[in-house]
Order: sequence, then structure tokens, then C-alpha cells
Amino acid sequence: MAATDLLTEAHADHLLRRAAFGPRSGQVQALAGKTRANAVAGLLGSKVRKTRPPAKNNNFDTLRRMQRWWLQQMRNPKFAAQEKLVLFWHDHFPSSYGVVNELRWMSTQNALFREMCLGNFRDLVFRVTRDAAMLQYLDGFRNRAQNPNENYAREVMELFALGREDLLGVPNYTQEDVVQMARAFTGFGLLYKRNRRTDTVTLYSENFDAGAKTLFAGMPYEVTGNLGVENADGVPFPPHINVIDLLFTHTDSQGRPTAARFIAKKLWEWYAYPNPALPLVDELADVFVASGYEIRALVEALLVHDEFYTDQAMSSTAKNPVEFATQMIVALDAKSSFENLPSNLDRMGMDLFNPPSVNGWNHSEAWLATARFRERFFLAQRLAAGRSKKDGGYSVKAAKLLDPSVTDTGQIVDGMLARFGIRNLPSASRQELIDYLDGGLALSDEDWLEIKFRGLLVLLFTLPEFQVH
Amino acid sequence: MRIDRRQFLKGASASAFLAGSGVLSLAARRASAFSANGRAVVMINLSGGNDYLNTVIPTDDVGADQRSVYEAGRPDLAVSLAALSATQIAPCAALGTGLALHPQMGGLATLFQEGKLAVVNGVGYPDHSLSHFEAEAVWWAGNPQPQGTGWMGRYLDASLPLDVTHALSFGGEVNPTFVAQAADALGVREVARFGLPDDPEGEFRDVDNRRPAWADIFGDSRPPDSILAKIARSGTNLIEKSALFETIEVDEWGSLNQDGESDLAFQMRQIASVLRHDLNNQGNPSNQTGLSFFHGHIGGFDTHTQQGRDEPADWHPSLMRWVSQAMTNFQRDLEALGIADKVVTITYSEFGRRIQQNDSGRTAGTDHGTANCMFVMGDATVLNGGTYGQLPVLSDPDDHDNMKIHVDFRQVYASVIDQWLGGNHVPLLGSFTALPLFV
Repeated sequence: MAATDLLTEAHADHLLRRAAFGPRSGQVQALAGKTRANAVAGLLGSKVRKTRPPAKNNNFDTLRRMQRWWLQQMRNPKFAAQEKLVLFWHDHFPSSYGVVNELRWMSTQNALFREMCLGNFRDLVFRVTRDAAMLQYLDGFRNRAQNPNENYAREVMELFALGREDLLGVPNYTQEDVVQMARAFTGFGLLYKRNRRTDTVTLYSENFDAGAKTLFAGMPYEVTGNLGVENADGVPFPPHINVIDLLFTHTDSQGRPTAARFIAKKLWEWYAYPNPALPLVDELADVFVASGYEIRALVEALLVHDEFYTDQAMSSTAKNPVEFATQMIVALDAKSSFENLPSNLDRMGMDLFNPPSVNGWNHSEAWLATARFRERFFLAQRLAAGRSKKDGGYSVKAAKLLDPSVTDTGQIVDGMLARFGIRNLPSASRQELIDYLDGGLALSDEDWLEIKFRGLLVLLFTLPEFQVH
Repeated sequence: MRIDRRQFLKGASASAFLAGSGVLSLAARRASAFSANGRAVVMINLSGGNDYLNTVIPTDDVGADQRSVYEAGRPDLAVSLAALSATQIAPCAALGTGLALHPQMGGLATLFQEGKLAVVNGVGYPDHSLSHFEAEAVWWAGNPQPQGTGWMGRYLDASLPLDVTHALSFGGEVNPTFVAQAADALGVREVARFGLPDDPEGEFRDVDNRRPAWADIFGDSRPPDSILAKIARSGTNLIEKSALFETIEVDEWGSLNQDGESDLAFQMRQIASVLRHDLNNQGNPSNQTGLSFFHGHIGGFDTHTQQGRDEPADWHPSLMRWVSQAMTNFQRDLEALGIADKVVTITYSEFGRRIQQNDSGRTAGTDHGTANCMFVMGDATVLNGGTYGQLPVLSDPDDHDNMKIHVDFRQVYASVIDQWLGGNHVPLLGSFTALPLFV
């Protein structure tokens, strides 16, 4: 049974990189020997938090403060596994501050993802549908009975719950379904109190299209009626059929639950590797359905699965910029205010709260396109050279990474490769790292640690093999 | 001063600079600078789905009820006839309907009159996708069923030496247009700011020892086609190009896009700067970039709301102006450099928008639609300027009230590959009837 298998050190390292933001010193050894199920449960934690990034103002400085706040949550080992999911949901249900232009709403959305990161997926879709940032991002506030706007209706099917096509390439819905669904989403607006706009989303009956709509016409799960979205308290008003529920009655061309397959595949790709085999997707989708779409059940099943501990899952996906940065920071125990980190991440292609499109970030080797890879050199250097927190810098105690009794440069290189989870390095590259250490200063030189060893860290963090996990 | 330099450059653009052939050495390949036949291609993506009907605007009802349907469907967006008088272009070739560019596109209208602009009407493909991501993927792939490579990437694979990087896109990542099986492409933000962290005087003074280590490590063999091999190639490219690109002069050489309003202007200035750099380094091939395929990008075209009519400060009018200015200035730069007849610039957008506006008053916008236009810009000696295709008949839309398609976008691609680059589009795209865009 996979769940009761004991973690090796390599597996613990992998689990911490993928399910969280990388191991800190000693964490791999502490986790090794536990069962997969216990380790995963411990990482995920039993309670979710409702904290949110500070958004007192609505300017660029506030955005950077929110980003720094979130990155500090990620680096905290107690929260890391949940924050990994918060990041997933931000990527899955993207909204960008540039379009939303209201950082309070971005903060509220971030808190929603945190509260719901391990919750019920159906509830999450429902809450995202009436989330202020999302309503602004995909024109939901402009979607009224008189002038329906299809933006959210299309994306909720294409990108959030079903997929444009099922896993066999058969379209999951038609343009007419988009039209019908857009009508069901009409009427959301912000509540006004004493003529002042609040941040509370409400449904205005005068803007809601209460007419009959037909969704998924011609399919076994076709429904006609006054489709809509129930209000915040769960009281059906004014529609009598909740259109969110209908997303979960949809079955694909093989008669399988479309949303379950779609989310199981996407979470697998987030944690392991692209294009998983269909039987694996179905195994996970079955768990998801049986649990009533509980995200925790799906994530646990995924992270204890034998396939999650294969070579392919451990070394074939590009780390996104946040993963790249946090794994270095956590491994080096680098202390910093993260003053400059958000702009580094932006240049690497990952500006938090600002995904490039409603499709989120493009996770592939595009993360390592030449210009973005170049930005990784800069961050690696800043971290490796970090001696002080001053001016947004990093404080890294290089000596703490070394065992003073080890004086062989080959052993030092091997120790660092293991510490940073670097696998499959060509032997020639390993030798070049040793040659670098051996060139110039000797281990006994006063400056060796500060110049040569920190230089080695830069080389390690810019290895192709450190860019994948 | 500027005149002198331009005249010098014009005189310097000898045929040797552009002579491309199946040369053997790396240096010689770089010396060819441009593509296989010495020509460059610049693609510009108007991302988000440009509103075709407010870009190429009907001015009368000749051939069909075009102007009247346009005005009826867009009470808050239709541009008045009076505002269009200065940007009139030739009528729709198929219907005779009068056409004008958006009033903010004065530069492109002038280029049209000079025979340097082709406007292809009614472009798209059968069963047009209304999804940004699907539709963009289709345009990039040159295939309604994208298969992982881009249409230009397949051209690079098939036609050009693989040990030289020919393609560059802006924005940090390689645009999927250039994604290939083997050919490399660069994604950059700024060509001239592409160096490696280097602090020889500071505490990191060992960087001189790391450079050779990086070169060796990225050169080490990794499993072919693996993600590690791709990353290592990216690293090698970075080491090489970071040194070379820093020598490219981008500012203050006289580009008309020096103080452009938009990021697109900055991108076009950088492209002109790269071409100028290679021109200036004809005698020093190892100093040339060898780049001849470029991809620029301007976003913001997903105008579901507050699109604007023709007020210069409004959103869509601003986009129109930015595109027109950046492109026109680029063409004038190329003319000053004496290489306008070696470069073609092509715009595309993943889809057009609906005929009818979606709301009223200030918030009026347009939702996702189908047919679009493409601009093809080049020197009058190499381009057959004019209008192509057909403005879809607005009173005769498809079953979803969208404009019908009259030109498959792959016909334009085929023209570029066959006529401009001297290649064969059939293995790359399937068989399409090319438009007679090029002389």
C-alpha cells in the first residue's frame, strides 16, 4: 500500500519540494522514515488559516508589500504546503491587479484561496463566481440581463471547471452553452450603503435574467429552467437551479465526470509532471468524486501515490520562479525583508497577483527561456553573496552549510548536490564544479569560504539540474 | 549629423550584407545576417482580439449594407464619416465598399497611399475559436489543431542552419510562433541589457572563473530532447548572447521610435537597432547577431468594456495610434538605413470582435468574434500594396451573428513563405492559395 510506504530521504526531499517550497536544513532527515500518509498529513496540517495580505492602500507599494507578505508565508515551513495550494488556486482562478485595480479585492481573493485551499472544490467555484476581484477581472459586474457579457461564463467552463475539450479531444460545450451560462451569471454587483459602494458582492434581481435557459442542449445532462447562482447565504434567489451544480453533472464523451478529471489532471501536473496517463487521472478523479469534491482528499491521494515517487515525477518539470526562489531561500535559511524579491520574480516571469492571462502562468520550459533564465542568475548571485539584510539584501551564513571536517572538494560538491536536491548531473559537470573549487584559492585560504564557496553556490543554483524537480 | 549617418548607412547597404546562401563556416553564416534569401520577417501580435470593424471601417453601403449596419450595431462605437476622411484607403477589392483606417492610424494610411501597406480583409479560419488561448495557439501554430510547433519554427527547422539563432521575440519567453523541433529562438525584454551578473571589483570578484565553468557546464551532454538539454541550450545561448548584445546601440542613434508612446515602439526600435547593428558589422561577422525573424507584442485588445470611439485618450483609439506610430516609424527607420526592401512586417490578432457593441454609453465594448484583418507592411518595390480579401457582409453574418471568413490566415503565411522567403509552404502548413502580396 502506497500510503503506508516509508519515505526515503530522496522521497522526503521530493515531497518537500513539490508539496511545499523545499526542505530546510534537517527537514529531510526528520521526515524520512515516516509513512507517506503521515508525512503528507503533517505537511498539509489539519487547520486552514484565514489570514490575508495587508492592503490598506491601492498603490504599487502596497502591491509589493502584499507580495512580500505572501512570500514570507511560503517560506514558513508550517504553512508552506497550504501556501503551495494557495498559489495553485491563484494560478487556476487568476485575477490580475492590473485589471482588477483594487488591491483590497485581490487581498480578499487571496484569503479566499487560503481558507479554501483544502476545502470543497464545488464551494470554491461558487465563491470564486461571486468574488469581487474575479467579477471585475472577467467582466462579471458588467454582465446584466440587458447586455450579457460572456467572459466569465466561457472561462468557468474552458479554464476553471471543465476544459474546452475533454481528455479525448471532444468539445465539452458549445458557444450556445456560453451564451446560456452568461445569462445565468447576470446580475452581480456591489452593495451600496448610504449611497457608498462597499466591497460586498450582491445579486441585483433587476439585472438578473430570470428567463428560462437551456444548458448543454442535446446532452443527457441537459437542463432547462431559471438557471442562476444562489446568493451568499445559500438561499435560492431568484433562480431555482444553481448553475454551479450543473458544472458537476457534466460528463465527458466517455461518460466520466468532466470536472473531476479536469481538476485531477491539473493538480497532478502542478505537483508531478505534464500529461499523466488516463488511468492515473481516473484513479484520482474517482477519489475526488467519492469524497464529494474535497480538495484535501484529492491532494492526499496524489501525494502518497506510487507514481508520485517515480523518476519522472522527481525530475522532469521546470520549477516556476517562486519555487526556484523559495527553494534557495529555505535551503540557505536566508533572512531578508524580501524587498527586491517581487521585482526579481516579475522579471523571471512570475509577478504574484498579476498572472499574464486568465489561463494563469504558462508552466513549461518557457520558464527557462534565455532571458528569464538570466534573471535566475541574478537572484542566485544575490542570495549566494548575501551577507546582510540591509537594503533588501539577504543574510546567509555560508559556514553553516559546511561540515568543517570535510576538506575534500569532491565531497563538498557532492554534499551540496544532495542538500539542494540536484539529481542527474552529468559527471563532466560535477568535475567542472570541483575544478572551479580547486582553481585559485585553497580551502585553507582565509577568503575561500567567502569567495570560492559562495561562488560555488551560484554555479549550483544556475545548473540546469537545479531548475527542475 | 543624422542625415550624414543615414546616407552613410544607405551607401553601406551593399549586397554583400544581404547575400545569403548555403555558406559553410559559422562566421560566414552569421555574415549572411538575414534569412536564407537575405530577408527579414517581423510579426506583431495584437493580443486580446483586435476589433477589426473599428480598425478597417466601412464608409459606405457600396456592394452591401456595410456602413448602415455598422452604425446601427455600434451607436456608441461607430466612427463618424467626417473623422475618417483623412485615413481613407482603397475600397474593398471584392465588394467595392469604401474603407478607411481608424482615424488614429494616420501613419499607416500614408504608407498605404505610398504602396507600402497591404490590408487583408476577412481573415480567419473555419470553425473559428472564440477562446483567446485556443485562437492564439491556432495562429501561432499555423494550424487549427496545434501540434506543438509554431509555423515560423517549422520554417526555421526546415530552411536555416540550426547552429545560429535566427529568431527573437520580446517579452521574456519565446513566442510559440518560433517554437521548433530543433531551431533555437530567444525571448528577451531588452536586447541591450542582457549581460550576466558581473561585479569584478566587488566581493564577487570570482565571476571571471565562473564564466568558463558556465560555458563548460552548459556544453556538457544531456539526454537529447530532455528538458535538461533545452535548459542547457538556453544557458549556452545566454553566455554567448549576453556578451554580444551589450554591444548593440539602441538609444540615440536616430530611431524615430526613440520617444514612442508605447512598449511596441520600444520593441520596434530594438528590432531596427539589431538590424542596424548587423549592417554596421558587415566586416566583422562574429559580431553580428544573425537575427532575422522577430516577434513583437502589444496587449490590451480584449475590449469588452469602455472601448472608446475615436477620442485620442480613449483605450482602443490609443491602441490604434500606438500600433500605427510604432509601425510607421519602424518603416521610416528602415528606409533611412536603406534596408526597407529587406524587411516585411505583419500584424495579426487571434480574432475580431462582434459586429454589435455589448453595452451602451461609456461602458460600451465588444465581445469575442471571428473575422479580422492583417496588415502587411513593406517597401513598395517588394510589396503589392492595396486591399485583399473581402470585408464580410455585415448584414449576412454566420449562425452566431459573427462575421464570415473570406481569407484563411494560412494564405497569408503561405505568401510569406513562398514569395517573400522563397520557400515552400506546403510541408509546413498544408496546401493553400497564396495571395499575391509580394512582387
